[in-house]
Amino acid sequence: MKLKLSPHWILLIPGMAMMLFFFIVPLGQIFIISFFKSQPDGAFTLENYSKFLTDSHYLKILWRTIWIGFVTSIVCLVLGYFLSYGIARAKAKYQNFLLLLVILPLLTSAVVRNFGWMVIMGKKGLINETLLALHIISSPIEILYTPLGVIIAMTHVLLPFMVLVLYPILSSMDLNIEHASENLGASPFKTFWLVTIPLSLPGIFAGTLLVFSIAISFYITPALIGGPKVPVMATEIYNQTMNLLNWSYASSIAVILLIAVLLIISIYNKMLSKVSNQGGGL
Amino acid sequence: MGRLVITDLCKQYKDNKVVKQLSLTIEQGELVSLLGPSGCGKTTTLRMVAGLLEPTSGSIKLDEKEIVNTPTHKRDIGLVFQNYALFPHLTIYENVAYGLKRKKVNKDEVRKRVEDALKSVQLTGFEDRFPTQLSGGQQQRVALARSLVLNPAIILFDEPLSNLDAKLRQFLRVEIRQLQKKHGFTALFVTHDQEEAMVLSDRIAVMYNGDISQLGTPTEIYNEPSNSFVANFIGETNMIAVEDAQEESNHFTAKLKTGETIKAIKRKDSAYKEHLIMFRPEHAQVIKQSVFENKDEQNVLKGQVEYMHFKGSTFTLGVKSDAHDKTIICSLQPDDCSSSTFNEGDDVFVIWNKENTYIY
Repeated sequence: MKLKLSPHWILLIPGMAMMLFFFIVPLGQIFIISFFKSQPDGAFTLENYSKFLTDSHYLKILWRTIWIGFVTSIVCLVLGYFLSYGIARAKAKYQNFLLLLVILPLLTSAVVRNFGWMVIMGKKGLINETLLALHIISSPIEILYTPLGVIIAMTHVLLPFMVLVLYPILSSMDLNIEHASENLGASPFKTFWLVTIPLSLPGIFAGTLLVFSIAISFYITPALIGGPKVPVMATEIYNQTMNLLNWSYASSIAVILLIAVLLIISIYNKMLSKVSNQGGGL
Repeated sequence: MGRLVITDLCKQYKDNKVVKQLSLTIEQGELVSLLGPSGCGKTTTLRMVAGLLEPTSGSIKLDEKEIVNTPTHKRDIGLVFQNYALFPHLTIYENVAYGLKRKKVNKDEVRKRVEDALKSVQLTGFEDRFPTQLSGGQQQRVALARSLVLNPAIILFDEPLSNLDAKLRQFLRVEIRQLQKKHGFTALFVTHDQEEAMVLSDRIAVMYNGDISQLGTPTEIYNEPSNSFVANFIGETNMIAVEDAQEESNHFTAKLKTGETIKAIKRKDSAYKEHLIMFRPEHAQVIKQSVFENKDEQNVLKGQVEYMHFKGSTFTLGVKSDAHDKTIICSLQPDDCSSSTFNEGDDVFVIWNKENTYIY
């Protein structure tokens, strides 16, 4: 059989070439490097992986990365859901403006925003000074260089992504379906719980997945807000690459992170397809 | 139970009065249509009754109880939407059971009542399907069952048939009427389709510009339209401008711009205000010059045949007359003529009785 290629394929070439040379090839290299000793002879070895998977220090880093990502996603979901819902139900003429306000932080560099948080969270920062002045606490509390600080700052950075996913779904929802629910005797709260949330499940799944995947591979916020006290996979990869120059070990950490992400995404997708099958789609 | 009394209902958005001092009483078991063009306030009125919109002022009483401040979910009012508004994530069974579950009805009774409701809309066996797997007509029947199952005092219909094709529409409106009579619920039916309103309703409220223009039975509305808007909206009309009119003992004598006089019988509320006379196409006869003999109770206009359309059950003849800016439309029975009776440009007389003439 003759393979028929439509000329439209030509349009794909630049993008595909770029992905191939700057993403697939380097990724393959990382994969290969992770199976070889970095010093001195470069022989084949599984040592990198066994080291990671048997050392509780590194397993803790993996675990910390995942739970910080998880908590960040949940916090983003709750805050983002109400924010999106509020915007979607606001008067049509205000919606674009409110959305712009949500997206505005994305126009500032993440580094700048994180330095801002460092100022706010520090021992003599805004939070501690305020709490001290109000006599709620007697000595400064630790927020900076703790997982809590990382979660707060990361939520701030990732919230717009959640809103950008949830808002279109909530704003395109047929209000008559909610009206029908109330008409049939469900209170506004019940309606929200029984109709609005189930109908926005695809958005909830997509948004949390997006935030989670960005969160567990996030570098800047854990590096600045978490510092050496809160190492996560991304900062550890950086540490191994730049400080310890152990490229093959750094590569194996990257591969493990990638596999962990893919695993979680595939489980999540299975759940998603189950839910959307039940719902008969939107 | 299900007597609905609306008094002086108003809805205003800034300077825009959408509903103006609307009053309407619907007796128990009655089906009343709100009929009007888009933007006349009919859907706004319905949404205020349902509790989805807050009136600016006025009162809505259901069985003597004021419900204006009752939240939607506590009103005993069913609502059927134009776009069905079924819950897409629930099965047909769960859709119909939704209201019963909110009322904490026990499981066995829910099952029984849902089965009965689905049976009455002929959808037994569809329990486990999802709304998207059903056709539009079936979805609307589910929506009807979903309201019906709660035995509400009154069910509101918001243009429920306008998303369906013509055949199905005719079929479903009969079904709605039968269900309404069988279950005896009161119904308020919003539509812009005059034929639908005529077929379904006990009474029709023709709405214009936020108020009821005329309220009456379908026959009254059609035979005695109280103003030119209602006449134009229900059925076809020939509306001819009048220069001047004299009121006499039992009729009006109107003078057209070309000098002809037209007689219109006096009715209950006849008044000469809008400078118009009206007659319906089906009341007109068209006769060729040669065989014409004028009688006193008849009105006559001279003109030329502009077109002739065969419509199956009738012929429509367009006649151009100097007395009227527009073409006079005459609806003729096939018995009275055939395609060869008239030719374009023929000189003819349009004749109709003064009993069938209305003055506005």
